[in-house]
Amino acid sequence: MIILLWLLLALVPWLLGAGILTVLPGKNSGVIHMTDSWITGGMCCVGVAQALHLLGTFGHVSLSRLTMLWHGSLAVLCTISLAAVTVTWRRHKERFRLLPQKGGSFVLPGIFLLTVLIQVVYVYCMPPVFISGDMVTETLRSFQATDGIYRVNPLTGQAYVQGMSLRYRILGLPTLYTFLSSSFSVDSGLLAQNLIPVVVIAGAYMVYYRLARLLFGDDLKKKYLMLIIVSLIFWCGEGFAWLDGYAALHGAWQGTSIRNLILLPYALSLGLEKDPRRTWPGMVLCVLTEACVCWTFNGMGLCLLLLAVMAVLDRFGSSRLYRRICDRISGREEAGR
Amino acid sequence: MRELGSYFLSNHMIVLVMGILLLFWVSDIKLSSLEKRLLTLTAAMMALVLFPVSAEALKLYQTRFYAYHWIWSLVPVTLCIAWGATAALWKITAQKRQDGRAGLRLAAGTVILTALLLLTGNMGNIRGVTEEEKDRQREIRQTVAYLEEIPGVEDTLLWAPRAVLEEVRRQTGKICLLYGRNMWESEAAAYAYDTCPIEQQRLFDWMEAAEREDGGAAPQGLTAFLEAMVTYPAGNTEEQNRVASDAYILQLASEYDARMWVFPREAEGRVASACALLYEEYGLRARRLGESGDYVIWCCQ
Repeated sequence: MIILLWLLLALVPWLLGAGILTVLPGKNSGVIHMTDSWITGGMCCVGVAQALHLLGTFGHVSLSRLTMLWHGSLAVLCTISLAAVTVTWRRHKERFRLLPQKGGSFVLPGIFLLTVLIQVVYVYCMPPVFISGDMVTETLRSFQATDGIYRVNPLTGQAYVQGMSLRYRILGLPTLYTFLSSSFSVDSGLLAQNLIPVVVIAGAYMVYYRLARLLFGDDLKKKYLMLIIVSLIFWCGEGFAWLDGYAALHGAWQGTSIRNLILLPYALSLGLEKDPRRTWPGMVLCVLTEACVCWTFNGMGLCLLLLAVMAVLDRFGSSRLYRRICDRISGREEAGR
Repeated sequence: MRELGSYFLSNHMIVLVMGILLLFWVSDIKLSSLEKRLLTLTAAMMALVLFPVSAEALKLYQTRFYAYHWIWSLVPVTLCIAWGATAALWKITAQKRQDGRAGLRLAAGTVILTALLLLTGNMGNIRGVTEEEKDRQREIRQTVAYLEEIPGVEDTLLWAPRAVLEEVRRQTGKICLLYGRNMWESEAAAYAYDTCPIEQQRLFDWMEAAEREDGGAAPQGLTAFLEAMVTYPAGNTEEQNRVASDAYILQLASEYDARMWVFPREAEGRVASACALLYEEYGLRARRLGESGDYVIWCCQ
């Protein structure tokens, strides 16, 4: 079952994402990269789980019924995506890029893959880590024990007296993990603390590969060198909960880790492209996904703030005032010389 | 050495980011528009996070649920270091690469960068678990497995030391607790509006005191609570008063429907005396079910 889980975790998000990217307006001429597809599809899976989570929370639908709905909705979405991908594949085969570009030596990709492999083995074999304030495992166990969503306080197993925070109650990430755990008969603790971190690390490297592609174009050596340095940073910067290294190696199942490792860098890469007419669906997906996985200010999380700051900087960069300041600085420099 | 240890427990990545910003600002390395945008964004975000007014506004934006350091997530530290280091390594080895002597310089540059990265934090030391802790965890897991095997355990609430309570809910959703991690962990308490009654707080205090090796010097709040609630007959010795207090506490736990008890082995004699009085005073019969690791399991009927 675990092999099937890995296979589906790799294929379903890719298929969904590829389907979405083929039908999005303005993408007709662009190449659909595997990394973009997988991340977009992953965010859609979070969205589907979130919708079902809300149905379970406010509609009081049982978890077993929600799991059936989860399977059904994914099957429908995958079928539609498969149709869209097949049609586009037949017409424009060149639009799909499944693997990174060919060429170059194997040394840097080899070192990079080795560092990633060590990290994957590390998180996969890691004994349970207890993070202060984290109650994902308890939440998954309580969902499965009561066949419902937040019917009891996960920390005690008793019914709530005063209730719980609504902003926390609507976060759908535990429901997504419960669906995966129930569907593949995997222990929920193992799934959250050992399997999901592997998926999150893979997602993080996909995002950083995308960023490397943007920043270094077709220069394969630079791209892999950058990825190797990213993996080094993950190893070295793991001493604190708010660092990417810690998020990747010690708490990747948490919503904040998914935000810091995948959503924020992905939103940043979309913002850097400076082509909002083409990238806005991805930006919206990032903001919505963050609202589904993290406790944010009425859903307005860091992705939205980051994109807003980038927009302000762009506007300022193209303003007359900025050009005048630049001219003044360069004029002074010339006068100084 | 202690000072050096605390150095490695601090985050110095930000120094690397500042170094990279400075390097590309003062050097004549040509940057693409995307790279310039990345540098501008990093500098702007750092300024926002560093200045007190903007930092306070950002904390407010994050509902104040997250502490200050979380707003550093906005600064693309990893990306900036990775991109900057790659670009800088490429630049300093450019000429030599053409001469065919790239390997040495690139390797030296990478070694220096790795050393710098290692100086920014630590590698796995913080989460390192000692063998003693591992053994303790194993024992607690065995205790939880023992509890799961007890028939009818899901029909009552469990009262146990905090380590056992934490592990029980992580291992199974079927056993319900008298109080949970939210009793002693403020971060966990933030998710729910539920509060614990003072009696449950005293039960927690009692269990904490019982777990201490010194025989359990009770906290002041617990002592005052017991003095107010328990009637001590005149002429009783200190030991008799203590047994009476313990019996009252056990009765209080059963009043809250917590009839499955786990005690540390150190407190076994004390619990046995209290259970004898429990039957005489309150008509509650408690029996010892067994033991697992450092814990003794009792059940109250």
